[in-house]
Amino acid sequence: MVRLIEEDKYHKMGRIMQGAVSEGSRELFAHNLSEMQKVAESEFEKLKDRWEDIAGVRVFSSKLGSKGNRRSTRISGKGLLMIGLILIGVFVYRSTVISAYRIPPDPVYLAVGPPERVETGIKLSELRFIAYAYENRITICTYVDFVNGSKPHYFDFYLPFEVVAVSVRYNWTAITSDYHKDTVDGACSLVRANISEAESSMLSKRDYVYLDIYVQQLSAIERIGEKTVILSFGHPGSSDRFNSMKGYFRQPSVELSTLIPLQVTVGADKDSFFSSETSPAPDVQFLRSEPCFATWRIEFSGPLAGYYRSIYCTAKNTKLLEMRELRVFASGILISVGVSLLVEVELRPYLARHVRGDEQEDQTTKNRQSHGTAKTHE
Amino acid sequence: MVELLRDPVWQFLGVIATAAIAAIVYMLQRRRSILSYELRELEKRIDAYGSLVALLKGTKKKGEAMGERSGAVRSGELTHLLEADDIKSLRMLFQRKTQFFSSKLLDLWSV
Repeated sequence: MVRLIEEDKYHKMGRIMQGAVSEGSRELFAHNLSEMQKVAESEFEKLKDRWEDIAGVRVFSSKLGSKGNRRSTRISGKGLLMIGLILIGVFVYRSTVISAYRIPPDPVYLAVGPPERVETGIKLSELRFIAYAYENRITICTYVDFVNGSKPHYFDFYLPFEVVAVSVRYNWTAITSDYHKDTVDGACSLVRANISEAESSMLSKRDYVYLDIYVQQLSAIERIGEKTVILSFGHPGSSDRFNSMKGYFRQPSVELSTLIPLQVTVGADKDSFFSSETSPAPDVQFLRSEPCFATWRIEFSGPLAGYYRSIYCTAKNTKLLEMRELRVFASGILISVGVSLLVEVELRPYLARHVRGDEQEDQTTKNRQSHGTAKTHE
Repeated sequence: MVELLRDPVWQFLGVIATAAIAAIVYMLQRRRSILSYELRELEKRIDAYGSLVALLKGTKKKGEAMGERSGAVRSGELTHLLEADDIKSLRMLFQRKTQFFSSKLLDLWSV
């Protein structure tokens, strides 16, 4: 006999109780409750597994080589790769924005001797001092006019740079030259050029003298795309570096720029321009597609004879500046990508392990409470 | 220290470090909130399933006890004994916590 309790009210239960029998007014049995129980228990186990996965017990124990809930602090290969990426980014940025400073410690001093022969036997004109900022080269050139023919002369050029090579040419014939560095720190050099009597006898009446001087670093401030040349002219006075080379410096001599005006030119690479920081404003400036030049005319005669003359010139290369911006951008990308991936690969799982580990106890307590509820129902 | 602050490299690294810390804090908080929400939902489901399993286990035990005494029950291969209170509890469970049960279980309930 099948009896359904309150069938109208519990119609669903009535369907469940198909095939049920009753041995009392309150008792019912059902077939499909077994299946429902199996399904419920199966899904209950799945939910518990899922909870454990989220709580971070099994996920990380499997990643750690099934060593249980061990917390590892080792950095993986991916993490090291990301750290390398960050370091490369920092290095690229550092190498991009770093500035190399080498402020000339002394002024440039150009002398010629002996004075008595200079006054009577030699005549200089169109003296130029050209500093090629991008080539670390200084060219000193002038027209030399020997009035009395074959007489020995010498040029002594004191430069606040570390000279690495000197090439002196007179009418395309090399004449004797040497250079010496100061004994203080080697930051200054003395370049000596000699025109001997025999050589001067070969000279025509008027010729052009070139002195190509290659220095270690010509620019005072150097960054990618920017080179700042600072030049001062005058007697170095009692400078230690100058005094250390007194033995090489020939006396008597006369400062060249007191004889004739000195034209100082700073040459920049092509695609370059001179920034507004350049001071004083150059008297002559050539801006072409070829290397551009800024020229100042410096006179040491008149009321300003005893003063130093200084120029400050910054040449900027547009292409290199673009490259610098690109490198800064690339370094930012490298660092940000490296940091993001490092956080994602190493830091986040590491922190998540600890966070989950801390939360696990609370969640376990709650889970026990739910189990306790289930047992109470039982 | 002031000189360090003026150095563009340290300024840049400071910005990067700040951004990294902010990202870590944000991710931690977000992760914690997502985990907490998911765990709360799971606990509700576990609670619902626990109640159902407990109820069914109880009725099964009662059925087994009844089956030992009743030959009709044994022959009918019936397993669970539901009293009026059990039926009410079962109905309340499926009414109030329907959203926590799977479709398979709901199908079995609605047969």
